[in-house]
Amino acid sequence: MIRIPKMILWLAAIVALALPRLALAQGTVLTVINSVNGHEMTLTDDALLALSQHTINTENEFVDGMTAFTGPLARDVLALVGEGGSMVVLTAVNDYAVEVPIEDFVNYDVVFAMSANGERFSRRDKGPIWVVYPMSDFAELQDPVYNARLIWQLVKVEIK
Amino acid sequence: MQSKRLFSKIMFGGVVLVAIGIATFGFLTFKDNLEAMKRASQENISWSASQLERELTRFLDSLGTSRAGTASSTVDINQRFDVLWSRVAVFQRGKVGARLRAYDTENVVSELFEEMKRQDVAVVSIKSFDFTTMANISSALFPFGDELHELSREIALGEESKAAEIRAQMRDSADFALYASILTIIMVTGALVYFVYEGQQFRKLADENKALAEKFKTASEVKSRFLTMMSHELRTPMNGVLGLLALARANEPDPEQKERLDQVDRSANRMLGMLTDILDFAALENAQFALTNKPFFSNELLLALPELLGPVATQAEARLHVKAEGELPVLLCGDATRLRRSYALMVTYFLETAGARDIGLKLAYKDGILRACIVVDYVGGGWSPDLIFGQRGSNADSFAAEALGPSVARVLVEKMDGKIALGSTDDGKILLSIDVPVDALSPRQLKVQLSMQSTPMEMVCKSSVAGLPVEFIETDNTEQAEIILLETGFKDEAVRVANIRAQSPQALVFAIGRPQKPQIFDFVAEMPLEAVKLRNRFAEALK
Repeated sequence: MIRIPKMILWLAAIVALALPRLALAQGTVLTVINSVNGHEMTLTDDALLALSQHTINTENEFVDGMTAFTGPLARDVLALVGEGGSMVVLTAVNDYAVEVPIEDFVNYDVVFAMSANGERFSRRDKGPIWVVYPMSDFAELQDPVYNARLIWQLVKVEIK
Repeated sequence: MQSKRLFSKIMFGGVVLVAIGIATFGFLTFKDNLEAMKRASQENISWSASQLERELTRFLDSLGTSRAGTASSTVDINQRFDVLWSRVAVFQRGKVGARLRAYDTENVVSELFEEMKRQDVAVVSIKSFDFTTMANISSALFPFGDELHELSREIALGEESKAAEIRAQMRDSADFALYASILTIIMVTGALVYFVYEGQQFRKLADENKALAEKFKTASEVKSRFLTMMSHELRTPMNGVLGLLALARANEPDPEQKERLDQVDRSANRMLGMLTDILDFAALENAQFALTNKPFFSNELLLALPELLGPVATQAEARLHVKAEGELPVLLCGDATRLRRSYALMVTYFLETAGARDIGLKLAYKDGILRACIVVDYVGGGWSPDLIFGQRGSNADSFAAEALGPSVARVLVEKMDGKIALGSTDDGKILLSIDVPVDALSPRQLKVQLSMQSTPMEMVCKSSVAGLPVEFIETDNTEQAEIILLETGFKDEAVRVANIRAQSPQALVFAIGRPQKPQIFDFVAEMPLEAVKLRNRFAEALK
């Protein structure tokens, strides 16, 4: 039987305790599922940042004034798991979920924003991902229906 | 009628004002509605409030679960704490945050946030099975549960109340829009009915006015006819008076009688002149008055005026000079009779009324205007030049009795599209100018053939048209003649005329003398030769 030094065990315990926090700090995972074709993908911060970044300048009822939101376009993220489906279920870290017609992401440049005015979102704010619609550019988006779709702390996207 | 028009104006103004008022109120209401709709479309903040309450409960539950040693890990506790933090953050930013804060009069959320900040280090560094810390955190945040619940309830009630208020406002607005529309329709309909009625009244009035105008026109024509008849009827006995006066003067009266007869003669002549003026004035008011537009020789006008006015000037012991200033066109086209009459009336007036000692009448032609300048040297006294246009203080349409002649002249000139201007010369004489548009015609030689029975008759005819652009042609050139003057008083007159017309179908045949059949001639000038009449007819032939 191999004897493991007591010090190493202590170190392993510390690392095991710290890992989840490190995972949060290094890159929150976004799970993207296409229930129509069965494809599934898990994206880290780095993977999301590697996608083409898009900035929209808009106001909404949760921010003060015009704000520049940056992140990958929602349709680009969805494209990673292939086409199909008509609805998208967006789920937040607290299990709050909302159903959005997939046309929203085709008709508008909806962004999975990871930063606002150049500053990365923290989980204590809206992070790591806030679904943002270009509301200032389209009057029809200035409606409670779309306010409800501005889901923050997004962790899962599922196409149905 | 005046009060009706005033009422119409007031009514129209009232309708416009009320319409503006309704439109303004409608606009403001619409603006309010828009605002209300915007408010109605705002984010539902009740949900945000309940989410905060819910996340606090979930965080406390995660602590409780850990303390019970079942499922929750420290990661889960931290995650719940982060989510709770983010819910508190919602209260701090944006329009939603502002609306939420407006309800939080007890600063529950601020106090919760302060407490969370105090517990932050403990939460972040919490270890599994550290039940003491978990209990401490839980007991620090647990009291906020009820307060947040109360806040959520207040927000829900407040938002419901606001929504009800918005609905009521929109309902009121809809009601107002309905009433305003009904009121507007009623007002516009009423105004339309009134204006249609008023239009009918105006039409009725216009018809009445037209009938009145016709009536006045008829009355005026009756008056004119009466004046014409009266002046004509008066002229006949007046001529009788003048004839008898002439007979009385022929009987060699003594100087005293002669002076009285002269006075009577002057008065009678003046009355005759006034009767003529009245006749003219009545004729001018007659609707059938028409100007003639015929060619005439300017020379004729110059010659006719001294002939016409000479006796009047002699009687007034004044000098009269008539001449052309510059070169006048030989042939003019206009109403020579009315022109002559206008000048004569003015000159006669100056001679008889203004006490003129010397009158000069100069005719000039420039740019289609025939100008007659009458320069008057007068004695003065009680008369002044402006009396030409009526009494002092009266307008130009109100003529004094003694200015009847000038008034007739003025109307004649106006009818010929001319104008009269009164001024003075540098040496203080009266200068009256009469401008009348008259066309100048290009003169040409009129080819005339004489068919007389004696040389003296030929001489008489030639001298009567002396000065006119006339070329006399020989009898063997009959086919070239434009006018053939034929002396009457021989046998087979009709046959002769027929032969001439066969030879010269283009020529006009004028009779000199008294023909047996005047109707076969184009013109007849009786003997002693009516020279003026003949010259005028020549002028007409030149057109």
